[in-house]
Amino acid sequence: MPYDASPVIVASNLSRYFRVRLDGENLKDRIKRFIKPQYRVVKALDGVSFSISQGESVGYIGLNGAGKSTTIKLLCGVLVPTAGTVTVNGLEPYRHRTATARRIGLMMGQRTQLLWDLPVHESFNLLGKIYDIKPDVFKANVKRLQDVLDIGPLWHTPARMLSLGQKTRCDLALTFLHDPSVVFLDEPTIGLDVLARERIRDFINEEKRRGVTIFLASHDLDDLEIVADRVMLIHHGKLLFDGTQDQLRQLAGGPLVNLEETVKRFYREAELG
Amino acid sequence: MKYLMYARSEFIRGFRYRANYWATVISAVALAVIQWYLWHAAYTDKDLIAGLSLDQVLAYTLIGRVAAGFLTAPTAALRIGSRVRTGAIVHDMVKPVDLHTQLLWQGLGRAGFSFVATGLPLLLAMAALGVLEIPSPGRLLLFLISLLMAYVTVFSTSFLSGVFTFYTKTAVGVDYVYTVVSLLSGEFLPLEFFPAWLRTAADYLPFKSMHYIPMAIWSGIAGPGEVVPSLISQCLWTLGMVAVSKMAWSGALKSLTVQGG
Ligand SMILES: Nc1ncnc2c1ncn2[C@@H]1O[C@H](COP(=O)(O)OP(=O)(O)OP(=O)(O)O)[C@@H](O)[C@H]1O
Ligand SMILES: [Mg+2]
Repeated sequence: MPYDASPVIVASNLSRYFRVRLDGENLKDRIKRFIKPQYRVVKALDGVSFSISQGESVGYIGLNGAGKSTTIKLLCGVLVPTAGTVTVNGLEPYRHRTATARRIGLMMGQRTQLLWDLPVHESFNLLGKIYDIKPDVFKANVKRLQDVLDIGPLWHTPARMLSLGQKTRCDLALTFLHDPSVVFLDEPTIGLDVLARERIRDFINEEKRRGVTIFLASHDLDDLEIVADRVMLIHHGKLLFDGTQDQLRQLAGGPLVNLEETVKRFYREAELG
Repeated sequence: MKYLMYARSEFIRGFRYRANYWATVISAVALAVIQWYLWHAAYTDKDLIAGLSLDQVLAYTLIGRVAAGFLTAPTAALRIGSRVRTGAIVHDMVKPVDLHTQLLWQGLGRAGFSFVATGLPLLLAMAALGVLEIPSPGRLLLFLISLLMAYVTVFSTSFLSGVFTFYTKTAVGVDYVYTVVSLLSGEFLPLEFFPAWLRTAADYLPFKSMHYIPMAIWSGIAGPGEVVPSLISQCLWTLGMVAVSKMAWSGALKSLTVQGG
């Protein structure tokens, strides 16, 4: 798929710091800090720049706490940057939340957006109305998503009765329901079995072929190996690597090294400075 | 109208909680019975207390019981701050909707369920037993308008307090503040029973609009000349609280922090 040259996501020097109140290690410290709070600044994201074109698929990897979810929240307009700028489809997400929201999809593997007490189809109907999806488009999209993700049989089941894998499939379908041009996926295959993971990768690949820009954060490097054209590696809030998978392997010693070994080597070197 | 879907989802969700439902019905009936005996006892050797007759006070408190569920539903907005901070509403925040309006309609769905499921049966039962008299159609209509405005005021006030906890980073204290608010709103007693200075204070605060005005209209405590001025002041407070809570929210959005994930 040839990329549309115009960038959809542009981050420049994007940073987000959190001020965390310190608790103190012993009682005396805790009392002292209760009276006079002390803070520490966590640089969850520290001066990251990149640009992503329409139709590109990016795998975003990093250790726990590296800043992956923070980045996604900044790109969705759920967090406000401490410094730097980000635009999605030419708009700053947190300033133009509604306009941005129409064209993006967000899925978080650990947090469902299904209406908990209601049958699955109610969640779809609600989103259909919220996004003002035309009835015929809605019908066609539901049909397609039901088929590829095999969620037709779950249609009338209350969300709270679904297994993790079933919920994930429904959540994915909800994320793509309104034909978003950019989709952010934060650990979409977390906790799933091998077959379920494969099915979800196939689905994401299919959406990629339809021209959707994919931004995928995951710890499962197999996800990225299959889905992502481009890999970005983040460490302690800083971008360590940004390029194709082959380039990454090349840097780590040749085309035959598997992605996992390559990534591990990168982290070790980064830790050593 | 897309927000109607939010109300609908919350409305049908109500049917899920059966045990909860019966508990609500039983406590509503029990509270109504207690009120009935209490006020009869208080009026044994008096015709008027604070200028109000037994019938007026009974009508005021009993219709208050009928409306209680409807008017507590929107207090869920008190938790907006903690829901933002824990990340529970990340998904709501990436939808092309206004969260203030969304929560208003979701609350309306819950309030509607509560009214249909508990308030209305209680009202009909009390009317059939002759305990509670239904006012003239005109007053009934004005009562309903006033009740709806009370809903919006309760919602906006709760939402505003919720946005406040967004800054204080703790919801502790909000519940206590809320108890004071419900006292000043006339939820427990008609404001006539309060000392003069407190009543004067209530005249200059929005809390009257949250409970007292609709119940005073239903019960006739608000005389014919007082209904329209009350509704006008309630309308102004409603619009004012909506505006203030929306402004506070867009201010909070500027320093947004969502955790989790
Ligand atoms: N709301 C917050 N308040 C304080 N610190 C935060 C907050 N959110 C994130 N952090 C910190 O920012 C850093 C990056 O967190 P983030 O959630 O982006 O990591 P992640 O790469 O998604 O990790 P994981 O793989 O574990 O999901 C962490 O050190 C985390 O503790
Ligand atoms: Mg994360």
